[in-house]
Amino acid sequence: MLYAIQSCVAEWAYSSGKAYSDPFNEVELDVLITQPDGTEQIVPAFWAGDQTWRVRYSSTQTGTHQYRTVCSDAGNSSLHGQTGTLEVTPYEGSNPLLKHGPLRIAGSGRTLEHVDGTPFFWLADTWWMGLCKRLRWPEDVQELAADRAAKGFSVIQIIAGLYPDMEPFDERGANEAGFPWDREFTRINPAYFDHADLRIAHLVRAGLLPCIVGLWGFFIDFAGPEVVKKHWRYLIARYGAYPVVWCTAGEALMPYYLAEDTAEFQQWRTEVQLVTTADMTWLPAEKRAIWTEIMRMVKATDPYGHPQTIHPNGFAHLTVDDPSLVEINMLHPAHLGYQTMTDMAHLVVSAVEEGPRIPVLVAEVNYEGEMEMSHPDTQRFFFWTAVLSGAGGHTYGAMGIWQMNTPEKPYGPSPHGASYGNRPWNEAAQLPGSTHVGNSKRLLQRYAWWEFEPHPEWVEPHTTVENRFMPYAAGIPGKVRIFYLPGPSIRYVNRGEVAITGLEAGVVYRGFYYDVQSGQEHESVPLRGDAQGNCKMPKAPILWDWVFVMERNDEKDS
Amino acid sequence: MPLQNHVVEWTYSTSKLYGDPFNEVTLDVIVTDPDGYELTVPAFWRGQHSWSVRYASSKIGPHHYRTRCSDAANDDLQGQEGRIDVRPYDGDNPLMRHGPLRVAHGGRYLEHIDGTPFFWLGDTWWMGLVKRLPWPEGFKRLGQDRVKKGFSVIQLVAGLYPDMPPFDPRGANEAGFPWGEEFHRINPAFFDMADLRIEWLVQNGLLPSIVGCWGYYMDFAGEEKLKQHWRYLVARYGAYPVVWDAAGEALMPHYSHPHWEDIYAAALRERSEDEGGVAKTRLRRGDLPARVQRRQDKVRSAWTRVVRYLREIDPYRHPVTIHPGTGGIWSYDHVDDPAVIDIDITQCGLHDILTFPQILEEVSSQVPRRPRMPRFVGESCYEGEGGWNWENVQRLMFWGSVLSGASGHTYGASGIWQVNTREEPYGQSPRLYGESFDEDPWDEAMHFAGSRQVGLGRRLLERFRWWQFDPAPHWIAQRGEHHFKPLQDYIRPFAAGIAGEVRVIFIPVRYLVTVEEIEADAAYRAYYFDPRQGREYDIGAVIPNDEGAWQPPKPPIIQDWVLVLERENSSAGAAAIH
Repeated sequence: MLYAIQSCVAEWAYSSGKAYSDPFNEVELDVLITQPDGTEQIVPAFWAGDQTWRVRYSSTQTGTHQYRTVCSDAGNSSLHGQTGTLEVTPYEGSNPLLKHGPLRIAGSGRTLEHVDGTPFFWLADTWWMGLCKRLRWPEDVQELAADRAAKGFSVIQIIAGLYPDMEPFDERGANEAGFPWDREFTRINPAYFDHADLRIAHLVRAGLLPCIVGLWGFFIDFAGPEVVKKHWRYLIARYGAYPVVWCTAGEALMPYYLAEDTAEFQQWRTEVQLVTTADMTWLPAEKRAIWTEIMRMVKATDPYGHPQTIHPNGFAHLTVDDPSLVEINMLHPAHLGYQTMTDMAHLVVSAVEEGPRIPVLVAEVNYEGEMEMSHPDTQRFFFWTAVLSGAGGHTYGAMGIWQMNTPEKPYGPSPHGASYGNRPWNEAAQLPGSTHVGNSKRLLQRYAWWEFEPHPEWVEPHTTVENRFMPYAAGIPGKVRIFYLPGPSIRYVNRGEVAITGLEAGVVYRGFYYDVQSGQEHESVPLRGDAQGNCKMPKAPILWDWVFVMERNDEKDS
Repeated sequence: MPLQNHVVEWTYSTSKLYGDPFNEVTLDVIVTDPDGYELTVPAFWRGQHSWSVRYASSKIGPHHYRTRCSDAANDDLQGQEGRIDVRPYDGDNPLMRHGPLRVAHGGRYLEHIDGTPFFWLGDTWWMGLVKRLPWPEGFKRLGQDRVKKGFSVIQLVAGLYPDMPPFDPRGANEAGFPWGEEFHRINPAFFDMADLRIEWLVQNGLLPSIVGCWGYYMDFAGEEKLKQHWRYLVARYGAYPVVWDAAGEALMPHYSHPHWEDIYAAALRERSEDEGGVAKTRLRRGDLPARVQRRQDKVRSAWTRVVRYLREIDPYRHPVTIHPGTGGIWSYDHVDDPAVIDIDITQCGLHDILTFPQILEEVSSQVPRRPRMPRFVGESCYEGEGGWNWENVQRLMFWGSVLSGASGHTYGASGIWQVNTREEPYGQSPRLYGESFDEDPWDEAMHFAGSRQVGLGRRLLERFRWWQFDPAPHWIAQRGEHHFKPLQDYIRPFAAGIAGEVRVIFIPVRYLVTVEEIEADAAYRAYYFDPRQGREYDIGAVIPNDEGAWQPPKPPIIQDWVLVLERENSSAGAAAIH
């Protein structure tokens, strides 16, 4: 009898009495688990080196779970037909990822929630290369995770070893045990993942959900689809028992950087700047078909049904042939600071209004500090314009963290020959935008944010396709309204030219400015509509961008 | 025995008692310099029954003087004579070594009176004379930072400030306000404290650009009082190397004036009607209601008279400008006769993210217009204002301006112009319905990265004969297209230089350029200059193709770059000022 705690990972091993010369490729081991309610799951096991396979499993159900192994070599009795019982007892701790369980798409289709129905606000930080040894375990990982958890982040986007911005087997991608695969992509390196395990487990302990990006898209050209499928089976076996989100690939359709002299890359470079047109039909159908197949395979292999997405240039749902495989619509605007603010807002509005009804996330922003042109002002703009336009959360990123620059050694040049700047991760962690987006999430979590809908018509003038620097609004009619007032709109607000409209008759609101920079609320004022249901947006105290909140004031209302 | 270009000061006291000495007595000193030229140097009331004279000269040798008093019967003040022997200065303060400024021949840039070109890199300390910037520690700390970074000018207001009503306590220094109530007479003690600060700037190589007052004091104090104010400033500070800025936002009424609202509304209306919301705040005749325009015209004429007066009484002929606001966006538009100003400056207006493209466009299109005079941004989109306009904008403003023909640039940081302190931010402005600007304290704002980066820019340009640079957009072809609205038309590469000798090209991040029209007989070497850190990356010899075009290699980091092509064995740097 094995024992486990609800939603926490239990792990056990099988060693083969029969020796295989290439165990990783010769043997596939699954464990068929019957849950207390009778549901069956096929849980893949992972090769742990030598002649050993390990199983990781977690369950949100308490009680007795029965299991039996199924091995591709059915004649190997040490691996096939092994049975046992796992007794799962309730979790009584406070880690929200364990208390409420892994994620699923909420009924509204627009947000994520835990499997117990508790809403989950996605505020991610971008640690693409977070598994490499340049971010030292344990001290650096723990320091950065503690900083992010304290600021209110809930997700870490991290790649399972096959990184962007370097060629395969670049030393900068190694961890303490080398690379995830051997150099021919013949077999996995289990020791690599033993070290990765420590980091992934720590994130979960810290309350940070790992969004595991399997690989950067161009590895499909280096490793081939069959290797990528094995890679994904391995990741599901290693990490599926944790609360995770799967991101099938990063910039899935992008050719490798040094293919830049090819017509394909030239077209890529030109068109990628026009992603807001939503026309991605020029992209090679062949590659889209491959990723479609891999996403299907991931969905079929994962016994937990973790939400799956794919990281695009532009829209995730247009990156594969079958948009229904994409459960979270990740968006990836271009990175040019002030120049791309408007396009980013277009991208979100377009995905929400015209894309499938699934959670929308800007999944890679203009990193704070990137090219020294994206500062906290742009981070605030990105967060608020996205969530008030219908995004189900937001991903932040800081230049210096995604590539894990260290104080001693900056990351250095990307394959195209230029580097993205040298700010080390520990300085980048203190860039103010991370605090501002954390404060923003905290404000939203005071309310039933998952019931919010965009209501641009609640404020006049408001954001339009012609001018994205005018006010945004979202909320729940009759209960709460939240407005984002971009910097250039404040002068109109303070002249009394911005009106809050459509106020419900007889409802009195408490209105206040919220300073996302400090997390402080300013003095509130009572607000009610005139005969037409309008009132003036109160004056902002300082000439910068603001969030204005209206809460229904039941006391006065009654 | 004063040194050349150094201030010498002496005082006259009278035993004759005047009821209102400031208003009753005018004292001048007629100085005859070694070349026989006569200068009429105004003296200033020191308080009680004393008047002081400040004088400086670049001419070596004996200077003879004689006083001339409006009360010719007062022997204490009238007809007093003396002699000053000016000795050569061989120190290294460029303001003393090369003397005060003038407009260079041809009108394109400023130079010292010995002919040495002067690169204007201004910082904006509008309220730098208030006690909230404590003397000496705070003031010197900020000044030393600016010296180290390479600034050459500090723009400050002589006590009659923007963003507050008259006699607001935030405008006081250790001795109160510059004028007594009702603007009846000056308060010499205010200027005694201001002297310490002005003197320190000059001693540390920072030229004060003294703004007499904010423009709306024309309504509060009237033309005659402002002429008195200016006479007092000329008497106090004319002996220093200074630039006179007649008024800040010269035509703008006070924020409490009913016209202010009309002007502001017109500016915002212009903006909101523009595609993408990019600011078009340049108000022209016809944009304002007739009654507002009438006041603007009246005030413009009044300032024209004050500027003429200022020019008449300044024996040193320091360059004069006027800071624009609401009557167009250049100084040129703020006087009836452009001939009364020497420097044409512009300002950003609404200052937020959507404003800088417009000002960049103005500078690049308007600098070469006639009449030629030194022309540049005199009030920038402050770094950090509204949480926007960070160093990337500052770099673009600097390089876009100077490579478009501007003969300098004024930077500014939010938090410094109004002197926020850590304990007490400036607080509410009377404008804009009572909100405040940012709360960054000055000693944090002085570390905003843009201040260092514009200094690096000046230092790079001073390797060359920057004053002979011509804008040369035809030297570059932009490769690739950018499609991002609303700013894509404004953020672009800029090029300038001296044909056949040196080319300086600013390349915003992610842009690629091809250098074109490379002279067949010129052998260039090239390097990338990092406008953020000041580092250089050698590229080596420039080898153009048969059409005279050359594609530079990709720079090492994805960020803004300055590409420099220097002719091998070039003389372009030979006469540069270091």
